[in-house]
Amino acid sequence: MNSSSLLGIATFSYLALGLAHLYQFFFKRRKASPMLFNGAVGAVVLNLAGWIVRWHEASQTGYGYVPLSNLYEALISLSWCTVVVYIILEKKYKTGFLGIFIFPLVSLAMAYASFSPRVETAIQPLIPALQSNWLTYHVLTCFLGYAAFTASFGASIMYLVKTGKKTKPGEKQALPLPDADILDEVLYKANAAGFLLLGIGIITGSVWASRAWGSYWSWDPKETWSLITWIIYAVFLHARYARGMRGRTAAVFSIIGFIAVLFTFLGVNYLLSGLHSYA
Amino acid sequence: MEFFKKAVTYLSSLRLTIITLIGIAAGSGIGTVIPQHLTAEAYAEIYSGTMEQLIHRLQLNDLYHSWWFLIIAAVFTLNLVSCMLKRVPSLIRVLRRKRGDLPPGGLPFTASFKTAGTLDGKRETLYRLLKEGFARPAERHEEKGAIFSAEKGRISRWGFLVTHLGILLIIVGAFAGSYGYRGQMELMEGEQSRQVYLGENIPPVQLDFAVRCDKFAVSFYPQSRRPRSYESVLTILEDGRETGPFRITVNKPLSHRGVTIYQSSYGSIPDMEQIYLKLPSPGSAAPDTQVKTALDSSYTAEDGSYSVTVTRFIPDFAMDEQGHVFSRSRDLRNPAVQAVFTSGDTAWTQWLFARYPDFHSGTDSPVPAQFLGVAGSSFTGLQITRSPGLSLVWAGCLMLVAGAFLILFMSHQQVWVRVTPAGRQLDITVAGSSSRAAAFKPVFERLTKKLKTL
Repeated sequence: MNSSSLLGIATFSYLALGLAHLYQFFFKRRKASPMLFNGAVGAVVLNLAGWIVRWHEASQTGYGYVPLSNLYEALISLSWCTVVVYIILEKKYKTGFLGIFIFPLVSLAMAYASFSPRVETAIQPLIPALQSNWLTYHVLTCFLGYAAFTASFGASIMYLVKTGKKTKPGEKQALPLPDADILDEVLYKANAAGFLLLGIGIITGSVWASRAWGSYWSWDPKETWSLITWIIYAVFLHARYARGMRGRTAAVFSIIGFIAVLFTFLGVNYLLSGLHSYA
Repeated sequence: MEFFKKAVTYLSSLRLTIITLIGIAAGSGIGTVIPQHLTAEAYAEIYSGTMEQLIHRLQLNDLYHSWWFLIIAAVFTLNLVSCMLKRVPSLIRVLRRKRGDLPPGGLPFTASFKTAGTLDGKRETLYRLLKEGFARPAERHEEKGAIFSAEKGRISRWGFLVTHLGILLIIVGAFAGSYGYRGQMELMEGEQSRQVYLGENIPPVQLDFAVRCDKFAVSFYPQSRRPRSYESVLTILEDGRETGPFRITVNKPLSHRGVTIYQSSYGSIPDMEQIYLKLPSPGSAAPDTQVKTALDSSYTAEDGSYSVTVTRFIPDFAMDEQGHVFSRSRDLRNPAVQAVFTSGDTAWTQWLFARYPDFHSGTDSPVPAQFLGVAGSSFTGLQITRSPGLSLVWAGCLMLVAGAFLILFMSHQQVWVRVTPAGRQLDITVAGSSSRAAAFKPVFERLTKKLKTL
């Protein structure tokens, strides 16, 4: 089976998982059933398999590279990173609700990658500067970081919804969300993990830039925006450790951070120019 | 004095940390929106009025080295150093505390209860319970009973210092790096040089050694014009001695005496003695002739009906808004020649483009000529840098990551269990302390629950 059909099945599995999560949440008013969690594990295995088959296809064309070099491959790998982080968090905290955000988002990313005419899906040979193991470390750590921030974004939105409207006694709680404390812990842990991973991503990127271009930092827009994002989460962690920032403030902060993540990942490429344009 | 104290307190405050961090983030953001390092004329084209003045006043054309950005960075560094200094005494106090010593002040976690049994009968189980979640349980005797203690993750207390010292090292390394340089050297096969080109109007750097290019090669992907790799074989010449050969390629530089040599580009130098034109042969039936000519030398057709002189060569042809011709780069991206034709009493000037043979600028020419190209020899483009402080930066990065891991994913947890016999029962008091209360709470509760069923 070739990579695009595997990835196609993964895309539809994610879409189905997203719909199932939304259905159980809004219509059944309960947390996701364990079956959906197993489905998520299956879907991510398909996603990973598609990614690995593409790796194999790239080596058969004689170009031989880890598929992390253009927007198509970026979205495919970002998707499996996000679902892997989701699985880890869900395994540990059992919120049962993160999937409401994660699966619509990843199915959208996967569909955009495969169907948008703006995204080139062909396997292209790599220019010499991109032929480096540091590229793999750099991209994977950044993506795992982005994935953690995405999970934190989901938890933050749920936190705001959960604490937003006081339910009167006797009135049925509008939406069956997990405890605010658990959501707060998830968003904090995800931010902490994302902060560390993005930090490692920025550093491995610098090492690579230093070896390929002779300069570890050149204020390229992508570089700069990843630093800005990292600083935002650094401020979050400082405020949390030294001032005990929790609750709604922490949730709003994570959402601002996630906007910066989105801008770093996509906005920079479409609005600003630099070394990282996935052309 | 009062003011001085306040200033010192402010300098090490979290508020200042957050203000400077936001300042650095916001400033950096502006630098990605306003294009950097353009000429004054280019800025005048994009911006006008107050904005243009602001760019010059605030050095927004080189924002990351502007006075105000450097001031924010300096204040951030001062804040960082004073925060570390402020925290060192309490860190030393914590780390000096012997295992089992109670921390000064109250304990955040305590629980008391009674259970049946004797101290000697319970000792073994207690040790086992403490060993499950902590390291090195110890026992200290009291007048009536004993205090058992255990702890784990003491190393995480170092996290704060390690991570912030890491950031300081990165800043120091980056500052040291500003005393380095980054320049280019272009060498043809067999050529050698010790001169590093830094840019226009900047005196070049003279290396202590010379670099010779013994061989240069490019390989392409099959059926593609994309280069797969390019590499140079270099020899270092120093005090009459040769070292090498060294093979460098993109991503695999060579370091020698603090100077690093990167394979960064390649190109070819056009030979002005070998310019090829395609010209019509006299008599319309005859095929065109290919002519080799040189810059500024004239070629006359066999029958003398016209002559042509190449007067200018431009490697990367472009035209500004006033219609002045210039070269966008030194690469042969859009090579063009200006040719002056004379036929009888008339003369005309024409631009010919190697990439666009059918396009002629100017009036229709009675002599339909084409510029076929120019011969040249390829050279290797080396980037040569000296970056003092680079190892400090890498050491700082390692410390930053290691320290952040210690802070974020580990915590120092200590527990004490006081066991005092009271008749046939034991009075048990459990106490705990941690550098991260939130993570410790469930751990403490689990331990207490287990102790109750001792």
